[in-house]
Amino acid sequence: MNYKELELCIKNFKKTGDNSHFEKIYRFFFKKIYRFVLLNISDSQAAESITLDVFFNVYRHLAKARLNSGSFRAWVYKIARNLIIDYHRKEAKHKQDQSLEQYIETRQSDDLNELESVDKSLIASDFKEKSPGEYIDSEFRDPELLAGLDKLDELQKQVLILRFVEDLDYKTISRIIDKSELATRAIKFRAISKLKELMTK
Amino acid sequence: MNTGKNVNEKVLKKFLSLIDKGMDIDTCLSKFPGYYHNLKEYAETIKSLDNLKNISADKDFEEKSLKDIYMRARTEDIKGVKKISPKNAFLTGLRPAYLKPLIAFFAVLVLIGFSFTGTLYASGDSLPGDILYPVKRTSENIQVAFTPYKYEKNLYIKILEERLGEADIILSRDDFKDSDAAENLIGDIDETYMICRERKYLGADEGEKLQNEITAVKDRLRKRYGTHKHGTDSLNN
Repeated sequence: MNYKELELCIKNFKKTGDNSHFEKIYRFFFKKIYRFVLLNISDSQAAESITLDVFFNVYRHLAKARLNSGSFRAWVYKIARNLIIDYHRKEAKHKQDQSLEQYIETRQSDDLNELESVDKSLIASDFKEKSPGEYIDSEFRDPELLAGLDKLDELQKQVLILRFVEDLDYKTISRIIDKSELATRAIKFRAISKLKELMTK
Repeated sequence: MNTGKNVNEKVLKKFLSLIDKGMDIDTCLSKFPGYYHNLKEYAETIKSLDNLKNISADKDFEEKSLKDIYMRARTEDIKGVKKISPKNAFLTGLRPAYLKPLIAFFAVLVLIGFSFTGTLYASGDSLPGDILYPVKRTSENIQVAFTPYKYEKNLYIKILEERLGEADIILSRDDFKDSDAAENLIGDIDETYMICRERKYLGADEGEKLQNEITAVKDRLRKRYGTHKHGTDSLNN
């Protein structure tokens, strides 16, 4: 499906509410959005759940949204990006709460050795979660690249994925990340330089 | 071929901009033979990113997810879009982008209209020297400009009576000290009376009665505020 057909599907869905038009839109974006989410959160189960939420939000709000095919793409990715940010926020809070609970428990028992073991276990569990590539089929797995991507900051990582994996133009990317086109180009430049450095180390 | 040169920012930006334009990575590399070795590392990074395009979701999940969306929509009672009846289609068609600015424009217009009407209404009781007095005079001038010639008579007589009324109010108030405004008022009275007389808006009796009234008012004003005799006094003769 090309972008003209996509625009027609959006128009028809808004006009008639016919699910067959939504299905076409869904199939056009599904792989892209899933890939974008997966690469950003490195957890296939959570990626599936977020992808589902993205399309449910699209289904729910598309009728009211005033969009053409260009802005529609940005809108869908923006929904995904916002859900990714929410997910990271929740994860960070969950980890913080967990470590605080364990810290309090160890303080109560007043056993320094136990504290050390808790810290080590936390570090170990963090490391386990962050091990690159486990969530991707082995044939496409490039541990060096995925480790490098994980070391970039969130925005740099997103810009690289949107530009080189999703093949989006700078205008669309700038809409998704709420930055100017110039700033987006600068982020991409810094990101690619840093990623190359990380990969050649 | 020199492959040892460190790639500088300018070269890298040029290289990346060629890729952005859709040029094949290997062709881009061949454009910078002096920096081939260094740029190749960037090219490899971009190629490996490109390889991530092959990641895809499980087909079963894709189907299940679509069913879940429809199910959730049904549970939460979300209709994709309300079907538009032909009766409502016209109104819905009118609703797009320009409706909001249009409403805002009319709201501002109504607001300006109300504030203007309010100012005009408030200026009705203003006296010479008041802030709103020029508004009152301007509205009279506009009224004169838009009134057909055959109806001007009543309007001018009404204006003249209004001026005389203002003079009466001024004379009845002890706190009115603005001698310039009083002098201007005398000038206005004379001017309006002269127009009425020249255009023969006043009958012989009415004219004489009004003239006496004007002379009396002017004398009282001059007595109180010591204003100079106005040039149009000659009209009294």
